[in-house]
Amino acid sequence: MSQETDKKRKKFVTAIILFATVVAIYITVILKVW
Amino acid sequence: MAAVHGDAHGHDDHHPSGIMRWVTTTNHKDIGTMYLWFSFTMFLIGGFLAMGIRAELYQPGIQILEPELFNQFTTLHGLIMVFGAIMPAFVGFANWQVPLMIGAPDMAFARMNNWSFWLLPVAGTLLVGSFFVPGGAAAGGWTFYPPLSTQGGLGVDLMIFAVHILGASSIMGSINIITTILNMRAPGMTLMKMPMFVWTWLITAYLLVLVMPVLAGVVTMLLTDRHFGTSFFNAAGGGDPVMFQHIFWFFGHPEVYIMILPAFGIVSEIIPTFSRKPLFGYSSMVYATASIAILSCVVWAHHMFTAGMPTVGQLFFMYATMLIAVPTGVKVFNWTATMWRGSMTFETPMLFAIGFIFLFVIGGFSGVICAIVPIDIQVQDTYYVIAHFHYVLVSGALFSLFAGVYYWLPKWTGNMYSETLGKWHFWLSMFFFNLTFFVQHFLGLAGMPRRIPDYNLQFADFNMISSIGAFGFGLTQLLFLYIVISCIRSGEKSPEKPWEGATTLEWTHLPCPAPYHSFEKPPIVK
Repeated sequence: MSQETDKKRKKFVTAIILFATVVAIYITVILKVW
Repeated sequence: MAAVHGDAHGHDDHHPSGIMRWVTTTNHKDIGTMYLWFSFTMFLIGGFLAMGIRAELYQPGIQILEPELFNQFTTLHGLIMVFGAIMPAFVGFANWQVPLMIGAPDMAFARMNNWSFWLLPVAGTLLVGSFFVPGGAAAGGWTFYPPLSTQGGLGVDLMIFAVHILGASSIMGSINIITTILNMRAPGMTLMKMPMFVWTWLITAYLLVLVMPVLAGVVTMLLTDRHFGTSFFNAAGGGDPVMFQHIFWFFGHPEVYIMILPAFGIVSEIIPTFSRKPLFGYSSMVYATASIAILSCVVWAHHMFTAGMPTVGQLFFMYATMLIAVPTGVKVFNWTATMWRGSMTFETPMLFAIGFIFLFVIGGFSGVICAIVPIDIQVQDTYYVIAHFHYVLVSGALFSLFAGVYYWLPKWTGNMYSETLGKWHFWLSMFFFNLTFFVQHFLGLAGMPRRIPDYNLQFADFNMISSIGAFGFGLTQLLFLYIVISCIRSGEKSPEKPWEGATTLEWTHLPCPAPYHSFEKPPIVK
């Protein structure tokens, strides 16, 4: 894997983890009050 | 600097011109500039609402605003200043400065960056436009507590929609900032070598990722309560309005630190530069910032001591709140120690940074006072609280933004601002700010409630003084606009490195102004 591709993959993985965290917190808040 | 100049001109610099340059841009500098102008526009709109509030309160009795409109003014003033002015301004700083300070060519997701920005004018238009719909804007306070917010008119729906959009923008922005900092630092720049401004933004962005979905969740539930028959916060349907307050403040208190941590970062860059010394206690500054962020998530109920909670809950939230004074004290000590025996000069950015320390400490102390439960029960919803949080958010966040603008204007524009006018701006702001807000401590202690357009005659003198101060402070900010515009249009050419004590990459590796494309080849950090 080239350095450039590896960097892109790392950026993508970081963003996906953060986005998943956001969605998980959003859903948890609503379900908790449900 | 030869290599640097090569960097400036070596790129095929094709981009649209005119309005399309700004609509389609993916360049972090363009987007940072747009964030800053947008936030200043919203600052002027929020400021206009503040002038309306102070004009009404200039004398007892109803003068120019009917009570309903007065409530709309206070609500929208808060919402616009928090979500439309202060937060986007710091994101603008992050866009400009984070890539420059870590030696990255741009933000990690440049197209998403463009989208994050262009959501803002939509949300801003919804907020401001809500004044003109039937029933007017939301009037239940910027915290939009139910039942007022579940009963309001179309203005509340527009506000809910705007808050959703602003939240989405903030989340995209924070994901972008975290990804950029974690993945795109120049070789050799370890985490503990990052400039403090970058550190504070990294921690702030994590806070945003944690609490913005909470805000989104609570406004979604508010929306379904209003239109889809749910009863999350409707007591008549088995819901709990106090639960709204808990969830809102779980977002709301970290939000305060979202608005102040980047301010700490800016001040931590400026004070070493103008003291010509490295920042004292760099690692303790990092740990203090992280501690403040963590503690900010466990103190939310100090906003609701009068809403009713067990004594043990009151004690926990009181002590936890007081604990925040420790890492904050570490920061103030370190800034002071940085200045100690430094070769200090007092250019405008330094004046605003020192003004920040003085006034933020006053706001911090009144915060500790408000944290004490028996006192809070007395001053809850009085002007004492108004005075407290304006010392934190105006002389804290806003002063640091002014400091940052003066500090980095030469880097952004290639021109110097007028030092004489800058100093006038500082001293007038300092004088009028204190004239406006210091007296509000006394009003609050005497029992004057907030969000009321009329008041007892005993409060008349202090209110008149406060209003005169507010008008002066408002006019002074037009001077700031003039200084910035005249710097851009006709300012004296900036030297390559206008601040001799600056040590971060944007000053040591880039010319003034920073080229449109920078750090395409990353610098090596030793």
